[in-house]
Amino acid sequence: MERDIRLDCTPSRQRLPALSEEQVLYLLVELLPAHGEGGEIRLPLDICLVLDCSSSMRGDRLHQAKEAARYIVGQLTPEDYFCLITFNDRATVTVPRQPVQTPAAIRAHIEEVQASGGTEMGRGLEQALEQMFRVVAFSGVRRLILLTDGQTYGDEQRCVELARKAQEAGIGLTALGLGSEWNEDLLSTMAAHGNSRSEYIAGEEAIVPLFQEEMRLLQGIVAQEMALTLQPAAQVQVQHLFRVSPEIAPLPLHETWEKGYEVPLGEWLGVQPQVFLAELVLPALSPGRHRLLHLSFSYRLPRERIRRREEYDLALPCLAEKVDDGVPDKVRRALEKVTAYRLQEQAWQEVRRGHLEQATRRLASVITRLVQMGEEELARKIEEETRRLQRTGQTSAAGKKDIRYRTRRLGRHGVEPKETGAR
Amino acid sequence: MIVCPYCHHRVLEGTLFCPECGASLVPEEAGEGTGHTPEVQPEGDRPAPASPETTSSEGRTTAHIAPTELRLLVLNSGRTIVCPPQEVILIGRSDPAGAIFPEVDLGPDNGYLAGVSRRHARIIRRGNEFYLEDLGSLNGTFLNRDRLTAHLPVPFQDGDEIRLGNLVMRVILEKIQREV
Repeated sequence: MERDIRLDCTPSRQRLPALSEEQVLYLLVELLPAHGEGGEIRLPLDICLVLDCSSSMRGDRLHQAKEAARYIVGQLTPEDYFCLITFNDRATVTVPRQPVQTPAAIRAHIEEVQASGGTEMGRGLEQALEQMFRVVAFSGVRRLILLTDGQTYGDEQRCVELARKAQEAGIGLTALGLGSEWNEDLLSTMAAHGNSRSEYIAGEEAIVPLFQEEMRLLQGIVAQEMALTLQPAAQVQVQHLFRVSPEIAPLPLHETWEKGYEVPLGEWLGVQPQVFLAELVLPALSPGRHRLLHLSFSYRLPRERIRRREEYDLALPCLAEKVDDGVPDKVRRALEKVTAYRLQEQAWQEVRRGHLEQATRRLASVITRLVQMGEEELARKIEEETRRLQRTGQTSAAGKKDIRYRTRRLGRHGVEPKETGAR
Repeated sequence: MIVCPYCHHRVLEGTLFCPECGASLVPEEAGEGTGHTPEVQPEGDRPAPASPETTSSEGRTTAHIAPTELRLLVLNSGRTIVCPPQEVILIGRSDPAGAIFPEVDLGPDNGYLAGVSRRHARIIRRGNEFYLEDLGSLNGTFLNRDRLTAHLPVPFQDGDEIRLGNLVMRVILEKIQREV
């Protein structure tokens, strides 16, 4: 059964103090299936796999990547489309975009892929978009899956531009970095969009399980073309918008002339919770009721043509006396995760710029925060990396990637309290 | 404004966690349920103040270091902008209809044509240290040709190049000379 979606918004305060200066208000935005779990729809898929075949992929890495590609083809039906682009110093259209009517022939092409040469990701993405843009309209789910284990040099800006071009055309990006040598800043920037994500794969043995997870998500669609629109009242600023769940990430706020900010979110994949947190800066407020923000969430249910819309008005009373209401636990939990994420991201930036003392201090703050949240394992990992930083003045590439991606996943289970022993 | 009890960073009323050190700023009596355990930090783990300035418990800054003036030289137009001595400086284009009045308004420098958003970036001053933060702008903010990740402040120094879309500025930091 297809599901409606409910929009549930919770501000950090139900009543505001009247102040002669600016104040901060957080708004937690949760999207909830109105009829509980179940009812995800399998829509036709249009998948383009962009595979790094540079010499560093030789051996087990390429073997596992081919296995993963074969797994994807095995999951597709003649209603679905598939294409495979391989890249090293140049890009090759190994399997042109086509309906999956002859999976055996496609698998044979996958088998022929060899690894050699350098990593020129931009060329691979150019070919991928060229294949994907041959079709203007596709009613299913379109996805670009990129797997790389190396650094691309000189074409980073081009890669980001190509990712944006795909995302704006409704093609989501899953950017997968394998091992410790790839550029996580680049992949994160490319995936900084509502319908995209990046993931870290520590070793080749994890490639196939990650592709299985990706296919599981792509085969259960709750909603499509989701978008949040935020219209702040005059002098109210939307300072930040973060996705909290399924993964923590800042969401770019694009200004639109009439509507305020529009944030495209793409598809709702699988049964992962969808939670967002907005940080608002309010102007000086006098006592009385104030309308602060209008938020609307629009989406299309799979196989429906019309877009549906849920609306929310944030209007709160402002009191002359002191307000000491409690902060709702779920707002606090969401912000705590986002704070840990932001602090460790700042720490890595400081490491990059050689400000090691600041970075060490910042990481110590993250450890404190994580211990408070009951995330001892991640806290221990950061502690190890902090000690390494103090000892050698450097962090390990693998340790840093592991920490960054684990921190993002703090939001994976939504904003419910952490269950004891759950991972 | 409220002052973080651990790192003395000043933040707006209503802030729940200090953006500088991550400490919880929710008063103990406001707590309810499991999420409101009061902050207990072991002495060794307690984050130190992030900037060299000393701040009193009321949040007043006592200037031991000569304050620094921040100027931005817009290379596209040749205009030098003297930034006001405040903690947060918004950079963008003014839009009276949307009540957006950035401290550094790049409208007169053909900011619109250069791809500057109305709320493009901001500069955060911590004592004599300056940070640049992209506010999720459409055309990006670049520091010395590195594109900044949106909403992550990064420190910058005298002589650095800041680019907003296609508009390029040079940072000039100068100590203010005071007569004694």
